[in-house]
Amino acid sequence: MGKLTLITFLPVVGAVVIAFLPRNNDKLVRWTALVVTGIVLVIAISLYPQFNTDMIGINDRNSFQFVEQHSWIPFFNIQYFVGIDGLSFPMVLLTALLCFLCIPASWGISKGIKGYHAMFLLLETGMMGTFVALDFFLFYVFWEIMLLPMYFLIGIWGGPRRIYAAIKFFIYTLIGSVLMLIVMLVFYFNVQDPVTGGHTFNMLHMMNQNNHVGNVLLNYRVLLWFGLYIGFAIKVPVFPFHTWLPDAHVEAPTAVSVILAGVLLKMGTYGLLRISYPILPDATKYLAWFLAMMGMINIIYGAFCAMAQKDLKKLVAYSSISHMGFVMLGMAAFTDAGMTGAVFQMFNHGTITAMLFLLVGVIYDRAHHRDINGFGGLANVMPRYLGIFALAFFASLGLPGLSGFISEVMVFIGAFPVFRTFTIISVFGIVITAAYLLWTLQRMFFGATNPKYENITDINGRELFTLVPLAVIVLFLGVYPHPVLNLMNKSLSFLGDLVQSATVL
Amino acid sequence: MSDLAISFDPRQLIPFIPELLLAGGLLLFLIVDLIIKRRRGVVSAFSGSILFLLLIVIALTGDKEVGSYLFGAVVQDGVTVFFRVFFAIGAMISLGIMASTFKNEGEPFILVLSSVLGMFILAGSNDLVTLFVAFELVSIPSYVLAGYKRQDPRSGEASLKYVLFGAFSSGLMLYGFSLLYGLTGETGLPAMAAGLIGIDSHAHLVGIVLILAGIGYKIAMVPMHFWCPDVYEGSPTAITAFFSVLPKAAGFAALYRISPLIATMEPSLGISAVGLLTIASALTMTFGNLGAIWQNSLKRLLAYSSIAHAGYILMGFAVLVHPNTELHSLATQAILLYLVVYLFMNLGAFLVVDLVERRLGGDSIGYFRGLGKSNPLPALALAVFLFSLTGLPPLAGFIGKFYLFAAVVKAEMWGLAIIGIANAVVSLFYYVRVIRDMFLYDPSPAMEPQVSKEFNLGKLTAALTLVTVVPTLVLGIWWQPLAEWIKSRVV
Repeated sequence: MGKLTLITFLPVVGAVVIAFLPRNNDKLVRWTALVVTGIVLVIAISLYPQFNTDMIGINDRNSFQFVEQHSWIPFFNIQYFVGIDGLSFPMVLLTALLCFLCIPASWGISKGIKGYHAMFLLLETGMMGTFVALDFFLFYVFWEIMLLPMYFLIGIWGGPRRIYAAIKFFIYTLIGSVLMLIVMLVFYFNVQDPVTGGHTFNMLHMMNQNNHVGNVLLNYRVLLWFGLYIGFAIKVPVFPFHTWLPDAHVEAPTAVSVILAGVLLKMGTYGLLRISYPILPDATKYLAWFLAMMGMINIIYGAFCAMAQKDLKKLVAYSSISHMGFVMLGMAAFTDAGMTGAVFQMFNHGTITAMLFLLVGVIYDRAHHRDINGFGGLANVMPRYLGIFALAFFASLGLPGLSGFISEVMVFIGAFPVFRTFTIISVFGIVITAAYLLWTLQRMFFGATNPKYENITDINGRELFTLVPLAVIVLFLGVYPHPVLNLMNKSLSFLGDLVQSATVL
Repeated sequence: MSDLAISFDPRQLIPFIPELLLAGGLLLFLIVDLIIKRRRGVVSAFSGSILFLLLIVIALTGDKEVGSYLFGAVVQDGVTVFFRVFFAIGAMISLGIMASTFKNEGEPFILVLSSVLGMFILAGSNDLVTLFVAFELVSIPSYVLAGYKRQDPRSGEASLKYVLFGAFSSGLMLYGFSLLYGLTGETGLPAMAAGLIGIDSHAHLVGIVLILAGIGYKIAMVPMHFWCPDVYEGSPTAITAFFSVLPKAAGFAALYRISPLIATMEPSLGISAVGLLTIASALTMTFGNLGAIWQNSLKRLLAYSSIAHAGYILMGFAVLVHPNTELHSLATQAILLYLVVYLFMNLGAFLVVDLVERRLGGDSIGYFRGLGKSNPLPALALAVFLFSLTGLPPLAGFIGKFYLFAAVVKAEMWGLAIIGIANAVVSLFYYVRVIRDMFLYDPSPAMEPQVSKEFNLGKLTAALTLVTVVPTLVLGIWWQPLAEWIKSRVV
C-alpha cells in the first residue's frame, strides 16, 4: 500500500475505530483522533525529502510522484489513480497540518465527542482524497464525501443558527457538484483512452487534447468550462456564490471553521487549476479576463464587507473571500509569478486564516461573544494573546517579513503586465484590508480595559500548541519562502505555459 | 385453433417452470393456510422466502435465452431473467417486512405471491393479451392488500381509490391496445411494432398515448399519479413498502416491453417518442420532488419521493426510445441497475419507517425527531437510505443516478440532464429535513415521553436492515459484478 493511500484512508479507519470505542471515555476518543491525524501528518512530512521538485506532473503520468494506479470499476474504466505533483503536494501538507492542529483545538467540544471526531476524520479522508485523486470519478466521489461530515459538523456542533447554515452550505455545494457531474460525463464520452480506445475518466488522458474525439468547438467548451466553474466558484467562494460562507463560518465550531477556511476553500481554486486549466486550456485562456475580474471583485467586495462587520468571526470570513480573490487574480495571469503566487497564497491563506479562526475561538471561549466593539483594552490583560493576534493580523494584511506579503506581491507582479486595470484596482484591496484589520485591533485591544474582562485569563498552553506551529510557519516562510515555492515552481510554470500556448479556435 | 393444439409441444413449457412453480406454490399455500392455526404469517413468510430462493436458483441456472415460446405469447431473454431474479429478491424482503406486521395471518402473503406471479409473467410477456392478463394479475391482489387494515377507514379509502384508478387506467390501456390491434391486426409485440411502421394515423398516436397512460398509472407517472400518496398513506406500512417497489418495477418491465411500440411514433408520425417520454420524465420527477417538500408523514414523503424516482427512471426510457439504437444498451442497463439500487434503498427506508410506526405509534415527522439520540442504529440506517435516495456518493443511489445521467449525457439530451440535476438538488432538501430532525433536533416536548424511549429492533428487522443496508453501502463502492451481470443480460 502506497503512502498516499495510507494518508487518505488512515483517517477513515480511525473514524471506524472511534465509532467502536466505549462511550463516556472522552479522553480516549480525543487521543485516538490526535494519534491518527498525527500519523497522517508524519507520513505527509516524510514525503517531503523524497519529493523530487524537478518533476513537473500536471499532465504527464511519468512525472507524477508516489503514483498508485489500479483498476477499480473496469466496466466504466474507472481507476483508483492517485499521485501528487507540485500543485497538490503543498495542499496535502496543509491539510495534514491543519487537521492535526484542529484536534486539540476541539478539546472544548463537550457533546457527542465520538460522533464529532469520527466525522472530522471522515472529512480528512475526503479532503486528502480530493487532493491526490487523478481520476475524475475518484475526485468526484471524494469531493462529495466531504459534504456529509461538514453538514453534521456544522449542524450538530455549531452555533444558534447552525441548522440553517448547514443546509445552506449543503445545498449550495450540491448544486455545484451536480453540474460537475454532468461535465464529467461529457468529458467521459468525449475522451478516448489512447491505448484501449474506450472512454476514460483518467484526468491525464482528458488533458491531452488529441484524445478529445467529440465536439471541440470553443462555444461548447466554454459552456463546459462554466459548468465546472460554477461548481468550483461556489467552493472558493467567488462573488455572487459566496453567501453561504459567512453563515457557515459564524455557526461552525472553531476547528470546523479552520478546516473550512483553511482547506475547503482551496478546493475551488485547486479544482480550477487541476481540472479546468489543463483539460480546457483554450476556454481558460479565452476567459482569463473573466477570472481576473472575478478575482478583483472578490478582493474589493470581500474587503468592504469585512470592514462593515461587527462580529469578529464574520470579519475573518469576509477577509477570506477577499484573500481568495488574490488567488484568482494571480492564476488568471498564467505568468510564472502569478501562478506560483496564487498557489503560495492558497497555502499561506490556509495557515494565516487558520490562526485567525483559532484566535477567534480563544476569545469566544472566554467571553462567549464575538462583538468587536464589546471588548476594549484587552492588551492589558491578555498580552500573549495580543502578540499572536497581531502577528496573524499583520500576516493577513500582507506585512513584509510575513508569508502573506510574499504571495500577494508575487500575485501583483504576475498579474500587472497582463491585467493592468484589474491589478491596480485590486491593490486598493490591500489598503482596505489594512484599514479594517488595524481598526479591529485598535477596538479590541487598546483603550480602557472593559471592566467585564479584567479577570480574563490569557491564552493557555493547549491553545498555544495549536497556534505556535502556524506562527512559526508564517514567520519562516515570510523570510525564506523557498521550501514551499520550490515544490511548486516547475509544475505551475508548466501549467501556465500550457494554458498560454493553447490555441483558441 | 386445432393446428395449434396439435403442434403444442410440452417442452415449450420448460422455460415457464418458474411461473408454474410459483403458481403451484401458491395453491399449496392456500391449502397449508387452512391447516396450520398458529403463527401463520411467520410460517408463510418463511416458506415463501424459501420458494423465492428456489426460484432465483432456477432462474439463474435455467438462464438460457430461448426467445419466444408458447406460440409467441412469452419471451425469455436476458431481461426476463433479470426481472425474475429482481422480483424474487424484492418479494423475499417484502415478505420479511410483512412478517412483523401480519404475525398470524396468511392471506396477505398469498396475495403478494399471486401479485408476484403476475410480475413474473409480465416480465416475459411478448403479446398484448399476455401483457394485459399479467398486468391485472399484478393489480387485483394489490387492491385487496391496500384495504387490509379493515378497521381503519383510511385503508378502505386507499383500496377504493386504488381500484377505481386501476379500473379506469386498465380501460384506457385496453382501448389503446384495441386501436393498435385494429391498425395492425396483430397482438404479438414484435409483429405489431413492425406493422406500425409507416402507419400515419391519429389512431396510432392515440393508441400509444392511452397505453402509456395505463402503464403510467402503475409507475405513478404524472399525470396518472394522483392515487399514489393516498394509497401509500392508507395501506399498512409493510404493504406500502411492497407497493413502492415491486408493482412499480413491474410497470417498468411492461414499459420496457412496450417501448418498441412507442418508438414507432417517430418514423410513422413524425412525433418524437424521445420528446414525449422526456416531458413525462421531467414532469414526474419535478412534481414528485416538489410534492415531497410539504409532507409531514414519512409515508407520504416516501410516496412522493417514489414518484420522483419513477421520473428518474423514465429518463432511461427516454433514451431507450431514441432512434439511435447504439444508445439502447446503455439505457437498458441504467434502468435495470437503478431498479436494483432502488429496491434496496427504498425497501430499507420503508423498513425503518414501519419499525418506528410499530414501536412508537406513528409515521409523522414528530416520531422521528430526536431518534438519532434515543435509537441511533435505526436512525443511522434511515439516514443511509435517505442519503442514498438523494444520490450522494459513496452510496448506491449515486451509482444509479450516475448511470442514468451517463445515458442521458451520451444521448446529448441536455435539457433533461439539467432538469434531472435540478431535481437532485431539490430532493436533498426534503430528505435532509428528515435527517436533520433525527440528528439535529431534540424530540418536541409533547412527543418526548413517547419518542425518547429506546426500543429493540427485533431479530428479523435487524436482519432485514442488514440485508438492505449492506447492498446500499457496497454497491456504491463496488458495483462491477452487478454491472457485468446486468450487461450480460442486456446485450
